[in-house]
Amino acid sequence: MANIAAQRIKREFKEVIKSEEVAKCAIKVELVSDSYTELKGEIAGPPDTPYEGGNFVLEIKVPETYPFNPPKVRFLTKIWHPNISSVTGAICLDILKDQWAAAMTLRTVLLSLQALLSAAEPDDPQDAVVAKQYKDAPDMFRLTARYWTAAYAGGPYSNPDFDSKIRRLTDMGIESHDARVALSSFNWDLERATEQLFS
Amino acid sequence: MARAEFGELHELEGLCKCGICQETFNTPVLTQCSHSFCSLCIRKWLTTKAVCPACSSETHESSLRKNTVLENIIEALERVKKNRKGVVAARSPQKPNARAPSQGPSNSNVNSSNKLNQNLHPSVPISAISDSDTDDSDAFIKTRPSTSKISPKTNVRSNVPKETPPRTPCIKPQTTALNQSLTPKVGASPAVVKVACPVCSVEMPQRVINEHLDKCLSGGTTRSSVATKVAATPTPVSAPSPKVAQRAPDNSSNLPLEPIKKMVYNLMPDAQLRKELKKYGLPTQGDRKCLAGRMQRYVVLHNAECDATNPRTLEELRKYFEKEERALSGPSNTTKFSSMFKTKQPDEDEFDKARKEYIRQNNSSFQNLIEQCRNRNKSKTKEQSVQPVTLSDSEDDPEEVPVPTINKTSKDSDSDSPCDDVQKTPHHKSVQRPKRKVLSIDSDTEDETDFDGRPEKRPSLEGNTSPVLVSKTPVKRELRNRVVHAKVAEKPQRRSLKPKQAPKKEVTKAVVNKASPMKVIDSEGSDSLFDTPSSADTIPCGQVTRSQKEDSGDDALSKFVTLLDDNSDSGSTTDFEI
Repeated sequence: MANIAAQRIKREFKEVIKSEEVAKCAIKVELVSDSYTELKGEIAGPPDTPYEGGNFVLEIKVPETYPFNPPKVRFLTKIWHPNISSVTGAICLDILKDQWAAAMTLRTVLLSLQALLSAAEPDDPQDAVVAKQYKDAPDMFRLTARYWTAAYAGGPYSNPDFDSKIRRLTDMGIESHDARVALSSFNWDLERATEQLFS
Repeated sequence: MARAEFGELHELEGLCKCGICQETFNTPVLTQCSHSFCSLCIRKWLTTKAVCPACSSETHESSLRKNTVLENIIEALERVKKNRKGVVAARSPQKPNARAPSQGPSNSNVNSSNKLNQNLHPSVPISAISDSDTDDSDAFIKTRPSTSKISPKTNVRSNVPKETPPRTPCIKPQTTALNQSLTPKVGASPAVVKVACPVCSVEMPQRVINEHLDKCLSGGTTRSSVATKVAATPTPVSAPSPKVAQRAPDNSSNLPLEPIKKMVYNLMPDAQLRKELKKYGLPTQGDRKCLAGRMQRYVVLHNAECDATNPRTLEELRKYFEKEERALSGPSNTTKFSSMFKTKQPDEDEFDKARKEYIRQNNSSFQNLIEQCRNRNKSKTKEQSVQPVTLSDSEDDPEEVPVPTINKTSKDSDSDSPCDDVQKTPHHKSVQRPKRKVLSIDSDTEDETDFDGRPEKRPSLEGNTSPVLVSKTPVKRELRNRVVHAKVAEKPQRRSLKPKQAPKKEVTKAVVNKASPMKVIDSEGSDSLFDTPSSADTIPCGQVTRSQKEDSGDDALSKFVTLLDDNSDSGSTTDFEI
């Protein structure tokens, strides 16, 4: 890695570790390799959102041209969010694309992602299905996002109704994740989800 | 209290960091939107995007201005830091008195070394400013609190934190206050340091004044002694000063760095690029992209250096640049190459797959066409009373395309015919033609010239029309067929030959039409016989097969499409297939 990139990432790594947010357990970074080219980030779901109580793991890849090009970030934890792909974890956030500026750091990126969780932008979606639900059935979206947080990010809220629906599908030999995706996509309409899964 | 003070210092240090490299500013420059960055960093960034990294407002390289005040602040800050380190190092029990004399001399130098340092700063890494500076900064600290509540010296000694405490992110209001309180001091520090002795009215550093006053009052010291002391001491104590002194003339002897004007690399011819590179003693090998990239990187470095108060010489700059280039080209080049391969390889595979898939899918229709052809051929040959050898031959290998078989026969017949060279000319052309044909079927003009000689000679060929001659050399033909079988392993590939013939056929027809309109119908049969053998003949050489492989996917596909299209209007299809 280019000298400037490695040095800067090292600095930023320390910055995050020393930052107040770490003290509050809001953000975290870990090294994946010694070369500082790949990092693992973690952000806490912001309070008063469906993601509250969850811990979301991120994959951060630092390009050689950093900081002149943005780091490549995606969610490793499955998440139900209009701007994050529920399949790949790809993030649609301007500062990770064309609005990146060299003055941004790992810390600001992680905090921006946290902000994204609390303020979704459904008009510029990454996951069209989720975005549609976010706009058409906000209550259903909130429940689903909370349910996903509980299922994948260790969130505290359970939903027995959803659980039972998923169990119905898993009993039919469907993977629980597939069942969850299908049900979530159809606003937890069991019939339509089943139809989709078996069509 | 002291703790708080160092906290403030750390805040100050945190503020003096470039937003791009996150290091303390090196030759800071100010943007139009009042943000400061290292000259080199911001210039590099602006080559990627013409916006301010901090506020995203439009920024251009031409609008960057040197931030001298900030540079001075950083110098002062560095001195403070060094001083504190020095204090920590000198923590070993020493009486203040013992320290005083050792410090005194260096302080006397404060004025001069300060100026020198200001000149020196950008080119010499901050860490290189050596211990003697600690004394200066010590003085700086000392001068500061003459009005302040605490005596810094004692506090410094007792409370120097080895690790920097975490700096708080929201420090704007405080820092402005700090800056305000600091800036004038930095500017004034040399003036404050010097104090006139009330007795002998000789100016001297504040630190030595007490000692001096003692002596002065006792009548021991004269002006001259102080003066000599001041003059003599700086050299041994302040280590970097000689270096600085050396450097300064060194630089002055060199021409001052002139910023390189903006160049439009895309419009520059290679030679000019090379010339520019040579002008700065840079390597001129590599392709255009390489040259332009190198030039651009160098211009960034060069112009950044122009902002420095004490820029490096061109030679130093060149060496530094070459080192950077080497570091850059080493690993990144390999990754670039590998990525290139990675992106290209699957494409070819995919394409190959798609092509094979296409062939497989349309296999039945090809087969169909072949079958049609064969039937037609059979009927024709029967009509023309061709000997059964041809038929039996094609029956030998039911999958064998009939076209080549017949072609072969005609070819053999041709070889017996007097105009051997005529037969060879189209033969040659057909080898090359597939590629040309691929581009456009309408390239009549070119083909017209190619075939110019043919119509005249054709009548002679037509005279001993091939069907009759077909049977002449069955053994030879069979041998050749064997070769064909052996060489062409893949049937589909061979079948895919046909589309190539299709357009060619059309051209020949057109040529014939133009050259001898009367003979169009007559020549039709012989023409096909005449033309196809050549292409079939190429198979043993493996040439057509190879060229086929080389053809891009679009070509192959388009050919299939033309074939299918032709297939739809039956008239032309029959023509091709024979």
